[in-house]
Amino acid sequence: MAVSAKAFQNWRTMTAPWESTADLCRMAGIKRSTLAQQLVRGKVSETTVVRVARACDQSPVEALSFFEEYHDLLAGSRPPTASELISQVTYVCVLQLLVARSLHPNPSPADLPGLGPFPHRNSVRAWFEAVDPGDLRQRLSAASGVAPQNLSAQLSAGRLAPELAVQAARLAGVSLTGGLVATGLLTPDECGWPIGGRERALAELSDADLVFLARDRLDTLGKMVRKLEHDEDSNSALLEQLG
Amino acid sequence: MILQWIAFIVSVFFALLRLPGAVRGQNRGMFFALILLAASMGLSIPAIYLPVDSILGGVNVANLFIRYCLFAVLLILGVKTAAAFGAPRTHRMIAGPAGLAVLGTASAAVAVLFILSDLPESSTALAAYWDQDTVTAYGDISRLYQVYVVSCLIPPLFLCTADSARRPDIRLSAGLLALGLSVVFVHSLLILSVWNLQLVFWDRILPNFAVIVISMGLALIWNSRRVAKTRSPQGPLAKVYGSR
Repeated sequence: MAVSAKAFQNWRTMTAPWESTADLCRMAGIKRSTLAQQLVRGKVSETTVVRVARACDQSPVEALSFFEEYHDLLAGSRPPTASELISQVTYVCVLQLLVARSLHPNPSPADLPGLGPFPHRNSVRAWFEAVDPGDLRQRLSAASGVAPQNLSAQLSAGRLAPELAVQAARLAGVSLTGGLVATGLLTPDECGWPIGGRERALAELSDADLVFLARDRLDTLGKMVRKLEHDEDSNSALLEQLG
Repeated sequence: MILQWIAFIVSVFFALLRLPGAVRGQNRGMFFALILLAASMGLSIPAIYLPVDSILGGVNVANLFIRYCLFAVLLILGVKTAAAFGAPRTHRMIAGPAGLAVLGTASAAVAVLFILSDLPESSTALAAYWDQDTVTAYGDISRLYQVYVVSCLIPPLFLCTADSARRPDIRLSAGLLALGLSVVFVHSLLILSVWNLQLVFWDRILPNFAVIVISMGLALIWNSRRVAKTRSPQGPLAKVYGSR
């Protein structure tokens, strides 16, 4: 899950022809040994490309589009949909908004809670579920050759390989950069996410929509907490028995 | 020889680590198991075996004592491990009717064979009497019980080691236990007299190595429990919400 070293070198001679490798690493904030290792293995990570692009004042989306795996990234980058925006709001903020709307019949912007930063802990899975038309896991698994349980494991851990995130967006027919924002590889600004977009998307929800959104979030949360409690119970039972 | 001493010292050390907890009433079963394990390790060393046996009458009763120590260790360790790793079938196979029947048969058979054997003088590991059929059968039966218990325990331990959702410290301990018990399994199986193999060198290495690895695995779990107690617990909700 990375771009080829050869393509990286080509891109690098175009982007920063006069910088030495040492300078480039220093500007981009990556260790020289890390880059050297990636070049030797023939695979350069997307994170490296993005950092180098930022250091050279190039748009990371444009930079990634240079590579074969991401050739359609720039062309396929659009503003996010409302459900993608809302997926990047934590359940705490959703509940705060619910409470605020319940207490203030006609809330002014000052009454509404500020939204926390994103990506948040559950961003990746929330984004995936927001763009999922119903069978995205199966289709992504078939298209990428990654086993479904492996996909689920990545999503539960709050990760998704960049190639998979872009492939998922292709399959779901949404902006190709959305998944990269949720995984934290790219910032919302770099991908054209409007400032205050999440607030506007939430404002457009009717009260009933908001309640059902909160219910769905609590549903997911309940499952996660139940699982965590179960794991902790079994761990402490183990320590009780053998410790 | 030196490995035997190391294994003995390691098992004594890790058993004594649990002494303060055991005095407070915390997991006494495990403490007794480790003490018995240390005792049987000590008694497999001539420098300890010969004086102890001479006190007991000089007719190798100490060797019978080792057998029963190991049976008790296997029973306690088996029951605790099966409960710890959530393997109710393993638990039934060791402490259920079948497991207890196997244990009872093995204990009775060992006692009968010991009485039938002619063991007039102290000899560590009964090395001087290996030409007697009753002595070989005596050794084989205690090894068969080892193979039985250990083969019940290995699958859940390996499953836990391979489970990436588990905590890394628990996986490491489970891995050490699995490794140690696998060594016991392979060794016990190989020296059953059916195969008639001569493993003079490995006979010294394998069991001691297994005891060291198992003691370390148990000590790591003991340490994890100790650490878990001092750390203030974070509620599941806070854990799920905790921003990155």
